[in-house]
Amino acid sequence: MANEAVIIELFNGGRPIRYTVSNTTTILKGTMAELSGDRTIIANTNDNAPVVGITAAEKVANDGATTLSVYTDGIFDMLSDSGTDVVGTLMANSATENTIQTADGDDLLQGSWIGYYVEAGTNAGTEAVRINK
Amino acid sequence: MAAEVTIIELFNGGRPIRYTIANNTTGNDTLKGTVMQISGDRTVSAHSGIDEAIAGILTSEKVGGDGSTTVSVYTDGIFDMTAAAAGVTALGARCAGSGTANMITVADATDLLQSSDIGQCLEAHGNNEVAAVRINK
Repeated sequence: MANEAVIIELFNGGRPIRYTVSNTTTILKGTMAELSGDRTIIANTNDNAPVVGITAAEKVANDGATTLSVYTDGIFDMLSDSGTDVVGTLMANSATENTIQTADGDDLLQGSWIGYYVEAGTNAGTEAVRINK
Repeated sequence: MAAEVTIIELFNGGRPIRYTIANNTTGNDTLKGTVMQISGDRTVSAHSGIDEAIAGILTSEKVGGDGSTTVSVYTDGIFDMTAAAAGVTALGARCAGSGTANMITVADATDLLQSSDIGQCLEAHGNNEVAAVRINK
């Protein structure tokens, strides 16, 4: 993985929420996480998958851990795709790990939005996103 | 009433928000765990149908005629909620109040605009099935 989200500010300690995760997977801290099953997450690689937040710690493959928390409340630096967006634009996941793109109506209904820009989004830039999932 | 919501986890104490409620008549109680709709100026009543603006989940029972005129609703947590018949929801999808009290169904764009959405389904629902919903109103 690459381009993990970086914490700018956490509110309420980032309001971490715990999810189930496969023991056999490696997920780095700062990874955008998507739901893959009942209260279960994987690293986001699927466009339009429901996302739940940013992983709060590293999950090492086969370390025995089967739960992982995600931050749901804060401001994070995140990488955008090749588009540009104005301040306040709602952003969603993409098919590229840890990379966000402009959200549309379907993203709202299917839970694949992640947050809104508090800085103007530049082409393939890294800007601050307010996450409150 | 039936199908009241059950707490799985609360964040920030559930972030309770206080609203006005009618004192109601004796015997007309509103149970803890009831889905509450905004029915007037910062006033709530029990959810009863589709397209109602949802405020949250009632934190304690309101006994009809007890003289109290405020209640709090939880707005931040994970809750077990029941999908209405034909209210199947996909994993991760937004859900909204259904036509049956305390039950949910798949949200549409109108629900988002009128705040009748409730939260994100963290588990897939079947008809009349109970599953976890992330509420952050």
